[in-house]
Order: sequence, then C-alpha cells, then structure tokens
Amino acid sequence: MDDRGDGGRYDRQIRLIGPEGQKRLARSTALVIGAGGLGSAVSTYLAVAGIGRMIVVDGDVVEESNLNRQILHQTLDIGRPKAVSAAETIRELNPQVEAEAVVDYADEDNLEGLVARADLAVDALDDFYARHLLNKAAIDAEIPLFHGAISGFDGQVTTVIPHKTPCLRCIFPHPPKRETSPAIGSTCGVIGSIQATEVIKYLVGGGGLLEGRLLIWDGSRGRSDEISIRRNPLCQDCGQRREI
Amino acid sequence: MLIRLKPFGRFRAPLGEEMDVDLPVGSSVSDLLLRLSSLSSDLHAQIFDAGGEVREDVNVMVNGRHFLSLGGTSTPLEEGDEVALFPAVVGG
Ligand SMILES: [Zn+2]
Repeated sequence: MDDRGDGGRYDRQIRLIGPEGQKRLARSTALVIGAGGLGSAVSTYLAVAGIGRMIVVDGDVVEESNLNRQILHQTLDIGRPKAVSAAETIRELNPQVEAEAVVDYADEDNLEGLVARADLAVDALDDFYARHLLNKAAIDAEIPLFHGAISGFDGQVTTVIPHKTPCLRCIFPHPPKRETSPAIGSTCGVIGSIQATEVIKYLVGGGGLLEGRLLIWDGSRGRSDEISIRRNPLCQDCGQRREI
Repeated sequence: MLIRLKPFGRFRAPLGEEMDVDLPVGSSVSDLLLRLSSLSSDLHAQIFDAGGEVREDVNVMVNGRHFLSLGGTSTPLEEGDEVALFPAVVGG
C-alpha cells in the first residue's frame, strides 16, 4: 500500500479518503494568504494531511503578542518574517510538503500571479479590503476561495465556488473598517480547522461543502448556526458580464 | 405583517434566538432596526452610530442578501421575510 516509504504517515486518513484521494492531495497546490491565527490552523492541518504544495503569503514579522494563537511561530521566531517561519514549520511538520514563503502583503499587483499558480486559495486575512482583492482574483482565475474570519469567541466560514456560489462581495458588499479584533487561539483553531476540512473535501470529493451557507460560530455559547446566502446578480466581482 | 428575525453573535443576548416581529405593511429594513433599537438603549447603541446611521460592523441579511446590496435601509420588507442580524467578524 505504502509506495512512498513514509512509514504509513497517511494510513489512518487513507481509510477515509482512499489512496486516490491521498494522491489528489499530493498533486494540489494551496495558496494561503495570511500566516496569522487562521493561517496557522489551516496550514498545519493541510500540511500534515499531505497537500503537495503550499504558498504562504504574509508581509508581516512575528511579534510576541501573536504567540497566543499563531501556532506556526514560536518564541525564537519573534522578529522573523511570518511567511518564512510558517514555511519552515510546515516542512518540519511534513517534509513531503513543498512550502514556499512569499514575504509580501497580497495586493492588486501580486495576487493575479499568485492565484495562477494555485488550485485553491485560503482566506486567512484580517481585513476585508484585502479579502475583496483576493475574492476578485480567485473568481477571475476560477479557483475556489475558502473564507474564514474570527473575532474573540466568534467566527464565520464559507466556501466560494466561482460563478456557482455567492462570492465574498455578494455576501459582504462593503469592507468594514480595519480593526484589531480580540483574538484567542482556540477560535482560530475551530474556524481554521473547518476551512482545512472544506479544502480537503473539495480536493478529494464527497461530502457537502459550505456552498451558499455562511456558518456562524459562537464559541461563547458553544453554538453554531448557518445563514443561507444568495448571489447578487449585479455583484461587481462575480456578476454576469453584460454584453454590449 | 410578520418578519422572521434571526439574531446571531452579540445580538443573541438581548434578542434571543429567533423571533417574529410584527410590522405595518410597507415597512423597510430601517423600520425593523428602529423597532429593535427601541427595546433598549444598549441595543440602540449596538445597531446605530452617534449620527443615526447603521453601524459599519452590523450585518443585516434579507432572505440571504446583504441589505447594502439591496436598497440599504430603505429595502422594503414583506410578510414572511427572513432577516439575519449579526456583527461583522473581520479578524484572522
Ligand atoms: Zn459576487
């Protein structure tokens, strides 16, 4: 069964997703935008699941105040670029994963090139202005976008399939002000783990994705709910192009 | 007419899980929010800013569409509409 000489690293999950599913993971490239709290949880689980390649994008450096939640980074990483620290941790977690660090903030100039090299994009950002740029880039490249966001014990998560489900701008048409949210690592863990689960299901098939559904996590009450969401036919990012 | 209101996040504590709100025919999102904010000064402060505008960190979805992609606060409501009210969550 194990033809990779990895001592059966994936044995327990191959029971779940099959050898073909495992191969699909190994053939896939995930673009993770943001190596903070959500990026840490998503990247950790995608790495140990054996995704083939990860491109981690973050222009920030590790600060001590990040360490309550950003589990890709450790005390010795303070002052180092988050993307570099993240890629290192990913390789240590699973040397079979090819991890690339992009020490830069995602913006209008670099997103088109980044999404072109990926099979899917993970939104682990912390502001909606950049999220909308990523949303547009993912739709134009026709790759899925896995959205997550947190604030304190609250979180939300949904999966955007271009031209099929509502996109992030359909759901949230105007970027709310950038703010420093209260954050606790365990909420990032919940939401990031759901994002990673969505990515894995998308790649191996089966199950039901969070399509057209915004999952709302209320950690303070231990409750999750969902809101049905609909496309905006006039959405500036995913709306039908009008023929002239 | 009855509107089905579903509050989430910080709106759960003051409003509960789900409720029907009885509004006059022809009411809008604005009328619904004013009705809710009349329940307590705390709720008013959680929905409206000092200038009387809906706070930027408040999401209102009418039948799965954000009110800002419909007609804003003047979006008309109809009997049986489902309105979700929840705070913006932006961190990562
Ligand atoms: Zn859209």
